Amino acid sequence: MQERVDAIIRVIVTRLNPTLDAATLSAETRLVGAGLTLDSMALLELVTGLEAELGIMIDEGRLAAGDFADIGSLARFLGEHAA
Amino acid sequence: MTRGPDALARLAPPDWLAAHARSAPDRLALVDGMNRLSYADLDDLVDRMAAALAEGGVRPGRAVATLLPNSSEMVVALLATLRCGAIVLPISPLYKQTEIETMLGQERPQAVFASVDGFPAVDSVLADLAAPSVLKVGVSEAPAGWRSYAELLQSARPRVEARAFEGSAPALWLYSSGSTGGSKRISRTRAQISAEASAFHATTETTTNDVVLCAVPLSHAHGLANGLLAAIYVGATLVVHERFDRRRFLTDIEAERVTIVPGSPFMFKVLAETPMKREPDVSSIRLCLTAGAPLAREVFEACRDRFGLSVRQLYGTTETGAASINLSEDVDATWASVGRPLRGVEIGVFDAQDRPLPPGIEGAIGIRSPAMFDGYEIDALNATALRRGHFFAGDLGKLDAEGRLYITGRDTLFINLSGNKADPAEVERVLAAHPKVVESVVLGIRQAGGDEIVKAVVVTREPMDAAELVEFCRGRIADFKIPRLIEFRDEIPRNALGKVLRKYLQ
Repeated sequence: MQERVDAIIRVIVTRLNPTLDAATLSAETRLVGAGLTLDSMALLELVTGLEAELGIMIDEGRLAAGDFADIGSLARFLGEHAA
Repeated sequence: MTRGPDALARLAPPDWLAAHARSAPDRLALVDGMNRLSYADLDDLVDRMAAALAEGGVRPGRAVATLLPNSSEMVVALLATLRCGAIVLPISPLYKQTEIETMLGQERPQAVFASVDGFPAVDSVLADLAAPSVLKVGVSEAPAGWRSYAELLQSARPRVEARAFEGSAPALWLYSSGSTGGSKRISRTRAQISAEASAFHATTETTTNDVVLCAVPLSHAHGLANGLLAAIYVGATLVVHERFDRRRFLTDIEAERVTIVPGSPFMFKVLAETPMKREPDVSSIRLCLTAGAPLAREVFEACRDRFGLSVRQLYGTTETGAASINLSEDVDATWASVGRPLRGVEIGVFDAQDRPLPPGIEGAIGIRSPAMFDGYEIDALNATALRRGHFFAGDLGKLDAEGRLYITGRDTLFINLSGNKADPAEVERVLAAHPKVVESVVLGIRQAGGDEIVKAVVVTREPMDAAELVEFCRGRIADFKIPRLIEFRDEIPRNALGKVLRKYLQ
């Protein structure tokens, strides 16, 4: 789990917002809404970044809004669904 | 009678459709998921919807708004509006109530098409405007006070004879943040949008065999012109996707034998990176077009390496339509160029005194085109944007010895979010409405790959949380305009003259 959380944080910092300090992000950091305010394009960028980072395939059609709630919920989705 | 493309240039989009429906009724016009419509089918639907709009009170010269994602319903609504002689007012489904309010309030459309996501905002805005007579057409469902799209089509009595409208009549109202600040209407006539479609056809040599795959929004100038109008003009097939679903996009390229792909740098970047269980056959593609934001070298190379496809840059503005496209045979050497002008379009680079500059020298880009608008409603804006018969969007560039244009920068503060433009002043106005905010400066931070993100530097009366500001913005402006990065400061850095020192805010 922590490995996936770390991967998500790496992708966010390297691809989405290099001005962020990785040390300020955790499983509890919200991705949408108040928090990182990622819009749909940024979320797609995050998903493709994770595919490259982890060597997996993610079907974003199976992602529900709740899976994007915070870094932890996205990490749990990856553990359950990523092929 | 079969009309050639040159004769079509003198007609408007619904007439192109009617001409193809007569000459090749069974040819595939539109694919929207399982819905496959021939030219005769599409023409019939457009005729019925045009009759329904007229019966519902829509008159020539008045606006019909659409708040729809890409779909067959969106295509029918747009073409039916033009067939009535009315004006198309496409509103991005990404927009929120305040933005919708501005457009509907200013334009007072006689009909509005929306899907379920748009019902609450439209109802609320129209109630505030006290506009009870507006025909509200609900796609997929129709709540109280709305007419169902499907029922309207069924009950409509198609007209016997189509009316002809003047080429000088307005046909399209698009809202743009543009280069000169503030959200404003850009009005283009029937003849101007026909001129754009004609120039695109003449330059890219489109034929009835082309299949155009459009996931870029038809509510935006790029999707509308280089997707819908480009396909319908020549009698080609248009495949629409409601949203950009990268794997469906790649499988549909193979399944539909797609030949032309209008897209954005972001879309091509994602496509090049998307792993597939089986590599799709994209050999049918002859033209990948990107517009709206600069193409990064790594995206061009990634598409070439993975798919063997050269992504070509198209340059245009909402005010002028498509102006240039890179069709160079040696695209590996010229990928960074947005190419030469479309047929009939002139592009020049000018100095500060509006004198034309020779190749190799950077200056302001001016466009003159038969497809361009006649000007804004506000004269002060025209004085800046229309000079020497050219339109100046605020882009800087230079020409090479072969007449190819290279964009080198912008002389405006607009933030380019993968083709969606955010006006910093609009975001600053929203932030200023928060009681704890003293002042703010909004700017774009460029990312690796060329995209920008929105940053706000904010001075507050009392300590506050970034989350509170983000929540405050939600619903007031489109999500893509909400600052992704918020920095609190004690004061905004300014020079001796009071000008904000933006370089210290990056």
